[in-house]
Amino acid sequence: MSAVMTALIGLLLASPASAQQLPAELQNPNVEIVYKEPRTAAFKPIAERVKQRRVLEQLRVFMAPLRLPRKLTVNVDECGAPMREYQPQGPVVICYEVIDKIEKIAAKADANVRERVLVGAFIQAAFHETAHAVFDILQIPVWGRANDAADRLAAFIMLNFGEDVAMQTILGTADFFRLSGRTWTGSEFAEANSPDAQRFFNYLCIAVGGAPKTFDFLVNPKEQDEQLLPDPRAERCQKEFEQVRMAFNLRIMPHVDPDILVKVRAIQWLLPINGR
Amino acid sequence: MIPMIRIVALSAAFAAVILAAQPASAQIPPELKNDKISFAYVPPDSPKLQPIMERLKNRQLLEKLAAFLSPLQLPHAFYLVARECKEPNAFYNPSNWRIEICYEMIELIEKVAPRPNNPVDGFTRDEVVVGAFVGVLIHEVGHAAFDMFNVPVFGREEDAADEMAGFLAVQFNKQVARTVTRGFAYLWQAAGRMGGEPKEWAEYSDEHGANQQRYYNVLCMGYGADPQHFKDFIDKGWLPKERAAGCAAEYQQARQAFAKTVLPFINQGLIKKVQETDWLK
Repeated sequence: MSAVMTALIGLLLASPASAQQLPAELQNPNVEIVYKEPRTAAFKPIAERVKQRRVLEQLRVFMAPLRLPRKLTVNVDECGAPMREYQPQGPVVICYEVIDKIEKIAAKADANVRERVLVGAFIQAAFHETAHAVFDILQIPVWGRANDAADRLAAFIMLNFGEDVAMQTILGTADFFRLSGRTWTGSEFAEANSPDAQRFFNYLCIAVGGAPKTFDFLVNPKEQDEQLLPDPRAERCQKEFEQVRMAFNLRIMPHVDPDILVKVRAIQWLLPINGR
Repeated sequence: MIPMIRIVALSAAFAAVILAAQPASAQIPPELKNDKISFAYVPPDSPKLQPIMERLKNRQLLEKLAAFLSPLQLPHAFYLVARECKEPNAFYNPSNWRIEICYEMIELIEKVAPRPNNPVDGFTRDEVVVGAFVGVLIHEVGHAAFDMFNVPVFGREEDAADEMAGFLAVQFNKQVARTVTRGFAYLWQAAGRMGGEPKEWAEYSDEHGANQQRYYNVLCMGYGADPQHFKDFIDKGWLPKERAAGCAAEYQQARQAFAKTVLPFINQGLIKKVQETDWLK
């Protein structure tokens, strides 16, 4: 576990360098951030780490291009469960429990992918919850199940910040679902959210559709490796990606300041893992 | 007549096809016409499917579907085709703007439906045959609408098409709502029984949800639209309370998405007439 803790320091969203040098001009005046104190003692070290790493400050910089018609609060909080379902008007809540779960799952991962699980799964959780808020605040029509829509938007965003970010976030997310997930049975199929197995493939599909060269190994693996995305699904992925891109351009892009977006995209959000 | 020429030009295979120019019918209000919509019953090769085609023709299935869709302000031609496919399915093909309904799909629905005069769990044969088939049709109408109107679809399109079917089912009288919602749900339940639950990880890679998920999604849309009318979904334990609690919000999400992305393409004068018509009589 201590190896994981060490790995986490200097992770969560950004490299140490950029975490300390958040561009002061990149703010979103409508995003308020609050670190809530956890009641459970076991979460206190997590709370300290996310605060030190300025995780929410970074998320707020990341959201700088988004023109919001009203305030949105983003909290890190103790929820009693890994997720607290987003309610209209917010806030966005990232639960200490999900960070705890990510750390525990990452500890089970092979050492060479542990870091990307920590980073990728955390960013996934943050983006997914934020996506729900964006749909709500901007009154965006959502066809399809809301949680899948939030996942597809999160995956789409992950692909827009260069190859390193795309690789770490998409693969870290996929590892996380694979390590924590199991197949379903009986009335579990009644749940409004989708099983981790479906979410795993949804993220990989958007990735293969949007960055086919980068993620080619998911469909055409080296000899010994497993094909992670089966052909019948892979064939549809470019269309799936284009569908999300079209929806994004039509419904979200009009609320994005293009000049600020360029500045946010110019930030090196994650150092390449092998570059350390 | 122009649509007829176009569909023949599209494919030589359709040369032998019966193309109809919407003959007047007692049941179909004459004002529900849309020149952009054409339809064809393609004679099947397989003799056992011949009676299915005959039945569809006698019941004016495609004539009714064309009339039902007549309020759509289409950007181009739109074709409704019933044909043999060698598989029980239905499709929307965005490359030629065609909804294709396989005779085998009807065969399958008739196979899984309860026997005549022998309801299963309160589901009658007629209800399932009609409701499931209409559900499949309007699922494909959903795909067609998403494509032809460039609808932004953030979620998974197959679920979105089921939502469209579930949403449209409850926009008519209560009897229609009940027949289509229950019949469509029954179809997914039966498909789930036949196919079993997905067990291996890779089985979850399909772009469609599991049949079991689709069953609950359809129940949820109906219950969310009208909890009183569909109270029996809860009483009978079909829809778990935890899911049911969110169904009103799920229905509202679909309703708002429809209002923003599809409704602007619907002729408001004609849609009233469509809603007043008893399609399942």
